[in-house]
Parts: sequence; C-alpha cells; structure tokens
Amino acid sequence: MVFLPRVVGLLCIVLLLGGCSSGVFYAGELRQDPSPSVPPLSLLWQQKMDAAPLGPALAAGPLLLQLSTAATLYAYEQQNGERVGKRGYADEVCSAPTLVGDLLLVSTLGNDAAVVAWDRRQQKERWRYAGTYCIQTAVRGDTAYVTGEGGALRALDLVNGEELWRQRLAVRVRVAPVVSDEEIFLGDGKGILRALNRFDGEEIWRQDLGSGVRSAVVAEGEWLWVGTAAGRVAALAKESGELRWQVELAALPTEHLALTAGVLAVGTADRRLYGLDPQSGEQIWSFATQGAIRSSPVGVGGVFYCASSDEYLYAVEAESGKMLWKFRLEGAVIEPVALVGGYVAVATEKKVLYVFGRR
Amino acid sequence: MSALKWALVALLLATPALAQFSSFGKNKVQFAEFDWQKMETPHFDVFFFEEEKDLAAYAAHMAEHQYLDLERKFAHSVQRRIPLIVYSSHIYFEQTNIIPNLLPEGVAGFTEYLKGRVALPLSGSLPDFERVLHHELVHVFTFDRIARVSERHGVLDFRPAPLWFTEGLAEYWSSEWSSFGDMIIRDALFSRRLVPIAQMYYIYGTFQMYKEGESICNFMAERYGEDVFEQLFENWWRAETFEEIFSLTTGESLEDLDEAWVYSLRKRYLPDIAASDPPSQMATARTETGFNIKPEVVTGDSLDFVYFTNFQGYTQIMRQREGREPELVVEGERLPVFESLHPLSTRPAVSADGSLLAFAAKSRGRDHLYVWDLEKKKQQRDLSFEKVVAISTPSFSPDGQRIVFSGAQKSGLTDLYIADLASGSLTALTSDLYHDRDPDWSPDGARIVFSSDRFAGGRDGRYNLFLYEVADGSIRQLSHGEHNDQHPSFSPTGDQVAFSSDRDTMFNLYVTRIAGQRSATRRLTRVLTGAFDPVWRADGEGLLFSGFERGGFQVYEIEIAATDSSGEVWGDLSASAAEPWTLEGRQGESLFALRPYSSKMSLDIAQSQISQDPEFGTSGGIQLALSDVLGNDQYFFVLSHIAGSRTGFFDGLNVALSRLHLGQQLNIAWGVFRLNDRFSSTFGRFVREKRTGGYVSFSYPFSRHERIETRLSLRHAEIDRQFEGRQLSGWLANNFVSYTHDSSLWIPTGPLEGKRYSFGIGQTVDFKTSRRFNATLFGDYRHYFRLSQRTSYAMRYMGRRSAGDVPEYFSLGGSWTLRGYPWRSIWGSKMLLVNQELRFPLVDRLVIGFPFGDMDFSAFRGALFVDAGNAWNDEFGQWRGAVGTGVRLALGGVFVFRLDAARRTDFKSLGNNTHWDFFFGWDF
Repeated sequence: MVFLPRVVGLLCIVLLLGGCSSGVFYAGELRQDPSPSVPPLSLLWQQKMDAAPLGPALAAGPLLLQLSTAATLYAYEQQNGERVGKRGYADEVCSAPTLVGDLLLVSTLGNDAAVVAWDRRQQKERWRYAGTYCIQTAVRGDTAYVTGEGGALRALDLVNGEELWRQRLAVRVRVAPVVSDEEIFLGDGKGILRALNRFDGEEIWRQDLGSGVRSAVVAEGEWLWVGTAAGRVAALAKESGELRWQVELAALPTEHLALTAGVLAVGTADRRLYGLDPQSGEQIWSFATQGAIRSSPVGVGGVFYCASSDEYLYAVEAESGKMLWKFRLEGAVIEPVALVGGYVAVATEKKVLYVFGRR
Repeated sequence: MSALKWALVALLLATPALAQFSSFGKNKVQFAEFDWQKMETPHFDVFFFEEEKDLAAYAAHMAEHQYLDLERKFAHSVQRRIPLIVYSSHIYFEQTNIIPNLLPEGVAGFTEYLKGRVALPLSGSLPDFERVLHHELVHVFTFDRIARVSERHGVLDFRPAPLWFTEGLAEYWSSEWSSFGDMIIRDALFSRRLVPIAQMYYIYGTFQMYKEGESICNFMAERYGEDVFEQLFENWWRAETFEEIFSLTTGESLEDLDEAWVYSLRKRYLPDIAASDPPSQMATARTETGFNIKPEVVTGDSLDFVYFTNFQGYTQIMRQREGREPELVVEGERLPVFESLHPLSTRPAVSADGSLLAFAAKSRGRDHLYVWDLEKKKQQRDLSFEKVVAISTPSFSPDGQRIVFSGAQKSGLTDLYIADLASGSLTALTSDLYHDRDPDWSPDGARIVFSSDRFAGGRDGRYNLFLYEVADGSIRQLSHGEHNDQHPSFSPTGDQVAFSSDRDTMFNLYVTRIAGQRSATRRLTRVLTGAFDPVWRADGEGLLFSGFERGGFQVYEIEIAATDSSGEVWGDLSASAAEPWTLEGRQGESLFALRPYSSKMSLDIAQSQISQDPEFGTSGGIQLALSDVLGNDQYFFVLSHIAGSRTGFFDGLNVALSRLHLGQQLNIAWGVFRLNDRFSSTFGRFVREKRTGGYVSFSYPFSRHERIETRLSLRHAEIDRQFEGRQLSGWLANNFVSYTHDSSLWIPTGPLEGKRYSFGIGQTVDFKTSRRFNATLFGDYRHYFRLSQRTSYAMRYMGRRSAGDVPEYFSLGGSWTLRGYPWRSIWGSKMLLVNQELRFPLVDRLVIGFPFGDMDFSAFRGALFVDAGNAWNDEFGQWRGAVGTGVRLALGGVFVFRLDAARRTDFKSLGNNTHWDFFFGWDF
C-alpha cells in the first residue's frame, strides 16, 4: 500500500516534466464587478510560485493566470487567491504569454522551439508554429503576429496557426509589435520604427529614432509614443510617422509605457518614473524610487502603479506625481505590473505573486 | 578506505606533531597594524583606518555616485551591501588578507567573488582611484546581474563571461578611451601582434588583453547600440557559452564581430603611419633585450646612463656605458632589502657629478630612499621617513646634498619632499590633495619642475607641468591644457625642460624653453606608439627616452637641435591656483554613519561529502571556513565520520577546529582536534594514530622572503606504527622551530631562479614521564641557477635526522624525491638526498586543435637529472642514485604533468631497466 502513493507521485512528476495540466484554467468570461483600484489598496492575497514570473499576470474571466520562468502556468481565483490550476510545459519558455479568448500563446525554446497555442478550455495544444520567436505575440482580430529577435515577422491564422504572410526585416527586434486596426508598429534595434500594413506586411512608413527601440509603441488617437535605448521618449504621428517630439531621460526605459488621465508615464533604470505631457513631451513630474525601474508601470483611473528594484510597489497620482500609497514586497520586480479585473497584480523575483485591491 | 579528504584537510590545519616541517612559499607580511573602522552608505560598507578617513569618505561618495551610474547602465540594482576596503597606499594594499595571493604592483584593485568584496589602494592620483573603483564596481554589477538572471530562470551553474569581455567592459564603462589604449592597439596592429577574439587566451590577463577588450566593447556599442551589454546579460540564461549568447543577442557570430572590429581598427590607425614612426625607426636603440625603461644620464663626455631593466623576471638597475657591456648596479627583488624597485612608478637619479645614485625601493613594509656610490656600487645612505610610506622619482640638488622626491603619507596624499642627506631630515614642499610627481631639480638649484594635477583639468585625471621656486615656495604653471604632461627633465643649461605629453593623442616628446616669465613649447617627436621619460644627454644636444614598441620598452636616443625654435608658441608663466578643485564628500563623516570595526565572521566555504564503500561502509563530512571581512581572522572547522568503523561511533569521528589570526606581523594559529587517521609528513612514513589535543603556532615573517615559525602542541596519542609493529600511547608534547627563506622566481612548471632553504629542529616528549620520544633535525637547501632566459640548473640538498626512543622515519623514492625507485620505498630515521637537474624548454607553445576549440600548452619543458640519496637507521650503506630525463607540461596554470624516465645507478654502473615515474606537481 505504501508503494501506490509513490508511483502516483512519480507519475505526477513525470507528467509535469513532460507537460501535464491539472486543475482549471477557464471559468467563463463573465467578469465580476471588482472594486475600483483607488489607493490605498489592501493586499488581498499572495502566493508563492515555483519560480520567478515571466510576463505580467493575465486576467482570464474570474481567474488570474501567471506564467513562471520554470514554464509553469498558474491559475488563481482573482478574489481569494485560491489556486485552481497548475500546468507545466515541457520546454523552456522565453516570452511573456498572450491571452486571447481560449488561447494562450507562449514561445518556447530548445530543439522544438515554437509559438504554442494552448487551448485553456480544452486543456490541449491547438497548434504550434515552429521557430524561435522570443518576443511576445501580438494579436488583432483573428490574426497572431509572431516576431523573432532576428527580425522575422509572421502573420498567423489564430484558428489553426497557418502562416498568412511573412516579412523579413533583417534587423534585430527587441520589443513586441503593436497592432492597430490597420497597422503594425514595430521598432528595431537600429532605431527604425516602422508602420506595416497589418494585412500584408507592406511598409507604410518608417522613422529613424537614432537608437534602438526598447519599448513597445503606445498608440492612442493620432499619436504614437515609444522609448529608445538612448533613454529618449519620442512621439510620432500615427498616420505619417512624423516625429512630433523627443525628450531625453538618459536611462533605459521600461518595456511598456503607460497612459492615463492625459499623462504618459515611463519608468527608467535611473530609478525614476517620469510623467510626461503626451502632446508636448514636457516633463510634468518625476517620482524617485530607490532602485532601477525595470518593471513596466500601468495606469488606470488617474493613478500609475509602478514597481521598482527597491522592492516596493507604488501608486503615483498621474496629475501630480505624488505618491499615494506604497507596499513593501518580498523581492525586486522585473515583470510588468498588471491590472487584472479591478485588481493590481505584481510578482517578484522572489517568486511571490501579490494581488491588491479594495476590500 | 583509509581517510576522507576532510580528514586530510584536518591534517593540514591541525597536525601538531610528526609533520612539523615547514613548507616553502613567500610571505604576506602585516608590517603595519591598522585601527579599522566602517562607514555605512546606502549601498556600501566602506572599511578604512583612521589616517585615511578623508579618503574613505571620498571613496564612499564616489562609490555611491558610480553605483547610480552603473545601475543605469546595467538596468539593475545590486540588492546586497557591497564591502569596499580602501587602502591609502599600494604598500598597505599588498598586505591585505582578503585574498591569500601575493599582489604584484601591477594590480590596481580587485573584486573578490566569495563575499563580493572590492579592495583597492590609492596610487597617488585621486581621479585614477576613482577610475579603478568604477572598474571594480563594473565587475560587481556584472557578477550580480549574471547571477540574478540565472537564478530567475533556474540556471544553477554559473556561466562565467570570458575575461577579455569582463575586463574590457569594466575598462569601457569606467573611463574614456585613453592614449595608453591607443598606444597598445596601434603597436599591436602595426607589429602584427593584435590577437583576435578566438585566440585571446594568448594574452590572457595582460594589459594588451584589457585594452583589446575595451576596444572591442567600444566597437560593440557602436555597432549594436550601447544597450547591447544589458541585452547580453538579460540573455545569459539562454545558452551555455558566451559565443551562443552573443550570437542570439546580436544575430552575428563572434567571428563576424572580430572581422569587423579589426577592419575598423585598420581603417582608423593605418593612415597614421604616413606621419609617424615607431621608436626604432626614428631613434637609436640603446638597449636591446628585455624590458628597459627610465634612463638617467651619468655626466661625462661619452654616453653613460643607468636604467631599470627586467630581463629575467627581476627588476635591476643597470649601467650602460658607450662601448661597454651593460653592468649590474643594483640587484633588486631578490632580497628583503630591495623587495621592489617600483620600475613603473619611479626612476633612478644620478647626482650632478655622476658619483651618486639615488633610488627608491620597498623594504619591510615601506619605501626607503637609498643613495649608492655609483662607481663602487655600494650603499652610502638608507633613508626612511616616519611620515612617508611610499617614495618615487628622486632628483638630486646640484650640490648632491639634498634630494627632492614625491612621497605618499599614510593618508594616501602625495606631495613633494626634500630630504637632507647629511641630517636625514625631511621638508615638505607641498601639502595638499593634489598628486605631485616626477620632480626634477634645475641645474642652478633655484627651481624644481614637476608634474601635477593641481589645475582644473586635474579633476579629470590630467597632468600639467609646474615650477616650484625653492627660494620662496611659490608655484607657477608651466604647461596648460587638458592633456597629460609628465616626466619633465631640465636641460644641462637649465633653460629648457623636456617632457612627455599626449597632447596630440599619442605620448610624444616636447621641449619647453623658459626665458624669464615666459615659456614656449615645441614638439620633438612623432612617435607612432609612445615616448616617455626623456632625459638630456650631458652635451644638451640629445635625449634618451623610453620608447614603446612590439609590446615592450627599450631605451632610445635622439639628437635634437638645441637652437631649433620652429613651432614655438610663447606664453606667460602663470601662478598656480590655490585650490583649483576639491574633493566631493571629504566631509563624509557628516553624511555617512561611522561604526567601529567588528570582526564579524561570515561563511567562505561550506562543503559536504558523503561516500559509500562496500568494505568500509558510509563516510561523510563537512568543512566550513569562516572569516571576517578583512580576512584577518579565519576559522576552519572540519567534521567527518566513517560510519562503517568496527570500533563504534567515536572511533570513526574526526573533528578539528582551527583559528588563524593574520592581522599583525606575528601570525598566530591555534586549534583543537580529535582525529583518528593515517598521518604522514611529505617525506615521512605513514602511521595510524588517534590523537586528541590542541596546538598553538606562531609564524613571524621578517619580509616577503624570510620567516621563523614555531609550534607547540599537546595531545593524547594512540599510535599504531604498523610498519614496525609498535603501538604506543600517552600524552605527548611537541614543539619545533624553523627558519625558512624563499626568493625563488617561478614559471608555470616550477622554480627557475633564486633560492629556497629551510632548517629547523623539533622534539616530542612524553608529557607524563618526561621521556623524550624523539628529537628531529632537518635542513633543505635549493638553489636555481638561471643559464638563459628559460633554462636553469636546479640543485637540492636535503637531510633529516631523528633520534630518540620513538624516532620519526623518513622515506625516499618516487618522482618528487629519488626517481627510479618506488614511491616511499626507502626509509629510515636518517635521510640524505641530493638532486641535480637541468631544466630547459622543449616546445615554446603547443596548440592542439580539438573539435571544441584549440588548447594551448605554453610551457612544455624537459629535464635531465641526477639523483642520489639514502634513508637508513644504523648504517648508511651506499648511495642510491638515478639518472634520467623527463618532460613537464603545465596544464591551465593549475597542474603540472611530470613524466620521468630514470635508470638506477650506484655511481659505478648504470642499471639496464628504465623506471617510469608519473606525477602531478611542480618541480622541486
């Protein structure tokens, strides 16, 4: 009788290593009505994971999904943090996941490197597109846009993973493309920002920003905003790529910029979160932390949430740059702060996932 | 299974009795004792002693400033406190116990990875101190960034970066590209010595590797963007090798980078050959072999000069007279008295009448100023000064009665001083934070020209020339500009000053003519690489200088037209600004918290091992090493057990605790132990013994080369001397005293030159009955005669004698003692051994290509030997001998593979059988 539990345990380990799933990753799309995320927030729950996070937490109906660097996907109840699912991938994962409907798109490394579409409702792999694409997949409508660091851009049919078109840019790419109704905006390591037709990949315009593009484009209205390796933030006309303004922040920007209440926020490696006027580039305020900011901020309802290597999560008022609230975390934060439903989620290098909200 | 490795470690740490003979090795001597304190900043614990409080505050300020800079560059915060240990002088730095290695003068600082400590000295220049600090902090960030990204992705093994990359990046991110970098790269390019990335191991750890690495990192930033380094570190977990990480980050191979980098260098530097020449093409070489630098002219009709040479590993002062062979004047670095002649930072001086030679040399923990009779080659004066720790660049007054020099105080600040040779008194000419160096006294005695950073550009590490008026102490600025003017030298007439300057990118020679309150400067050379240390020939129509070419220095001579005034631009001499720049953070005590130093222990090593043997059962052990942040106090703890022992738990237990205190010149160790194992000294017989007791030992190094040691132990012993069928037990007291000298010069396979000897006496007494177990006398003398650059003749004479009721037994046989005889096959209570060996190079460099890459064996050497010896109890019998030959191969600087083929001889006939000895270890 002692033998049986051991066999079961061993099987579980084998299955986990080989890529097994257990629990629930889909619980419908109906969202509860969360409390608005207005600071001061309360820690609702925290969970320890097996490894550091990879990518931000994702909202999946009433669930929160978090991928780890150990290729484990966790599913938690947003409200109470109860773990309802845990799935291990067989391969190393190398990009933040993208969640679209039932599908979770993840890039894997190794001999079978691919973009894998996993159906979280059916809990099975829907399709797989071979190749190394360690940049987060972008999705618009029924098309997935996968990007390799070497500049290979592919449009795939989201339903079956079949290639629709390809565009070889022949330059290094470091951040995910952003897709609007008509265009794909993709910056490269040489500093060229391109607008491509999202239906055939043909180039519409290009703009040389002078140094490598290091943050994903933020597109709103007629404007685009982007950060570069030289520590500059640039604003461009969405239609023509015309450069509207550039400001120098002199340190590497975060991978994503945030926009709320008419303020553009960018975190930098010089420990500061900068609030810029998106129309003029004028610096409205800067908020100092005690460590390099590598975790992308997120903005909602006139508040930016920003985590730093100093192991704090901050809430900063968009209008004034004043700190509204802060919380001491266990570990530095590298991955973006996420809004999950009405909650604020952040995971640290010490493998702890925190979820904050109003009680 | 006779012993666990833990027990062997315990033997090393706690062996009190039988193996009491000291081993060779040079000493790290704590000549100065310091009252250490700690300054706490947001990210650093800065350790310093009272006299260097200002320097520590400055270091703390700069470290915080640089931390923020590197945090931006790495996009990374180091989330641990960084210990920063500051030394005000390289002489003190060399005494550090943070790492056990002896630190050569070329080491400007280090980062130690066990505890993440950074240690560095002040070399005189505060901006240079900043640069070194910045360099070391790049290492701290690099290591932490790699460790953290590996940890984040669950990569357990540490994947180190190649040294050319880590040092190159540290250089690139800590300073601007310098004239020295240009010099090294240009020279390497034009002399076809530029080493590609794939073969960087050829120049592993050299200055050329640092500068090539810096140049490559510079090029990488241009080619891929400044953030390429941050991207490389972020991808560190994704591949096993740097080549793969580089490739997946940049999309190119290292070969692509190499090709593009070399092409860019050619494009940049090759045009320079049109307008400039290497020293050998534009001047007459006056020295030929070795490394020759810092000439100083001896007055006379024909060319006569002294200079530093490093021909065979030691620095010496030589004299070169026209038409004669070079003469050795001062033999340095072999004896404690001239432990270092500082060839890179100082120069010799000759009095105006040519009779006296002055030079600075390190001796017993501080620099001394020595004055020699040049003709008799004998010392006249040995001056040292309580106030001055380091001395450089002496220059005689015209009457030969006084010497001006650059000296560093215990605080680290470097000023000019005049020493009166008759009285030995010292007068400070300057006393401020500026780095005053290279003084040269004018022929009329009225002025002293020197190089200093006492101007606005000095804050950025630049040097200009200044004139000190001896009569009133006023200082006027002789040269101006954001460049380095150094090594000034007055002409025999006193109206001109020759110097070296990088004002036009490369270090070239210039002359400034002084007329009243005005001066004019003209350029003398257009050297492709670098020209330094100009000194005037006695006739005033030529200069000697150190020229850099083909990776080394030689002394060259050029003719100059004294009346040539082409290109001169006249300007006024200006008064030196009183305080052109100040130190940030000098009032650091008000900014940062001060704490007394506490000897808080933290872990250095924790290892465990468990093994199983079908016959002896399970054995296991742990080993712990702890030390304080300065490494002055160290604890070692060893616990092991052989569970399969038939005699119960306690019988199989080995426990030893040792404590070392290295914070003063007298090193003290004590320990307690309970061991049950086989014991032997290097040349002794194995005995099985259960021993329980304690010991205390003292080691007093007089200098780097000499020490006296003594040890006293008391133990309860149960000895099973299986080889003679005796069993003994009792309380034994053991003591010994020995003297050891080691001034050998090593190459990777073993000693090449110098001598080592050790002798001593010890005894073991039954504590209860006062019965003498044994008394032992030993002596070991080894001398290495260098026959050529890489060939030497080595001899060893060793004798041991043990007498008493229970004498010690010594053994011979095997590769390390008497070759041609089985290992430890000859034994007795008396032993004599003589080895004579010719050591010579076989293959300079052996590169074997493997599928995974080339392997380079740089020291593949041969030996011819004659050994003779015997070990006996009552009758000597006859000499046992062997003659033979062997090969030695250094493997990665860690192991030496030795293979000897020997035939036995009784010195009347030669045996027919060839005996092979295989061994891993250095030559004796």
